[in-house]
Amino acid sequence: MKSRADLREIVGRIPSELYGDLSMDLMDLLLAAKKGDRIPSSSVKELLQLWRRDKLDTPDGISLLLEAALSVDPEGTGRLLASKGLSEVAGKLGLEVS
Amino acid sequence: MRRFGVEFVPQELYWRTAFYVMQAEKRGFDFVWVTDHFNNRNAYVFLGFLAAYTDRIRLGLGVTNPYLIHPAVAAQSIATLNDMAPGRVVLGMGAGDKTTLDMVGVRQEAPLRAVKEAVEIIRRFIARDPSGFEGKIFVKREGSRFNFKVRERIPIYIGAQGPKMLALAGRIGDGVLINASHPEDIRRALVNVERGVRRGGRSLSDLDIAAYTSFSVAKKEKDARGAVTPVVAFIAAGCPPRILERHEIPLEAAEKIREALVKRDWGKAFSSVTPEMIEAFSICGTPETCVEKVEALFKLGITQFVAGSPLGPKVRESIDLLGSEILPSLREGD
Repeated sequence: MKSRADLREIVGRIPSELYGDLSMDLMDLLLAAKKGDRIPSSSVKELLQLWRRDKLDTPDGISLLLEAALSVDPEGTGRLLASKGLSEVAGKLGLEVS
Repeated sequence: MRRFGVEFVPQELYWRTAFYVMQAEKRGFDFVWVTDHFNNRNAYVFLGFLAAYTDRIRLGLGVTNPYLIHPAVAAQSIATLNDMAPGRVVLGMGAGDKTTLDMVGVRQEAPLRAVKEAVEIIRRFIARDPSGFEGKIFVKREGSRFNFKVRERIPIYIGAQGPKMLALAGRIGDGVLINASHPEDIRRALVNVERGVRRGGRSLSDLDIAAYTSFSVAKKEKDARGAVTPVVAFIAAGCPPRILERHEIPLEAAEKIREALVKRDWGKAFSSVTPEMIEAFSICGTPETCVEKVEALFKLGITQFVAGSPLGPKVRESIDLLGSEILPSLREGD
């Protein structure tokens, strides 16, 4: 599991114009994930606080969403990143992208 | 003034539903109604969570019942909730769902009286009124009152479908949640609400009249229908014969669905749902179709439209469609 600081650094490689769509796609992944109950309640509350302030599409928001997505559906996260042309980011996260 | 509500069944993980509620608030909804059945997550607890994560949207029990939640506890719960979300709390009170009550051996005795007495007791507790109330079902002893103040008034809506409960809502409710989606059902319901209003010496404008619909919207009609089909199957299966007849739905067709549901044969049950059933028991389609159908309900005299489950094939997208395409058009007609 990557630390939040590592995730922030990796998120820095994502073009900021992708943040909006990526944040909602990651959120959709979390909303549909079968193992959604594995996300720690502290992370859930942080996510909802960011959502409340419309800050999910910020580096903090994307980092947190990625952290949660990796914990519930790493394969799906890898596929999602690859579909956005972010295979390099997926690789940095240790995800295999076919 | 037209109001807009959205209903959620707290069945999913709490944070998912909270996400949707916050989205609905951002998208301009005025009310969220959370259903209360013992076999889902607890509605009161969940509303407490929502109170901390929302700022404007009104938080409603939609609806609780006096059989599982004693009126004193319902009053205490909404009063506490009001501390967390001052002036944003509303209570929906109904007779409960017979099937769910049966599961825990609770008899739905004298539903009209139970609801009426519960509302009376709740109002007295909220007002810190120490007077006694000797009902046939519920009792509030002289001198009983909360040890804390409730600063805001908490409106009580009555969830109703049958003629007598609708009339009771007209007589004593601050609002009524009419469990119907079809204009003809709403029209008939309004006649009964009005009957109660007259009996109570009130005016219809004293009430917020909500159509509590089964709703599904998607960019493609087919997708919206697909999402609403399971909900319609359950409605058709539990529908009183007189309402099926009103919509020219053969009783055997509803019975076939009911039998399949009992056997948990979802494929058979859902494939037996007909377009006529979807038309009768839901508001469903593209945003344009939905605007047209909801507008027809407002023209009949409702003052709140509640988009109820399932909302659509993808809830987040459906809330976006509601917020960007449906609510703005309907507000224009206000």
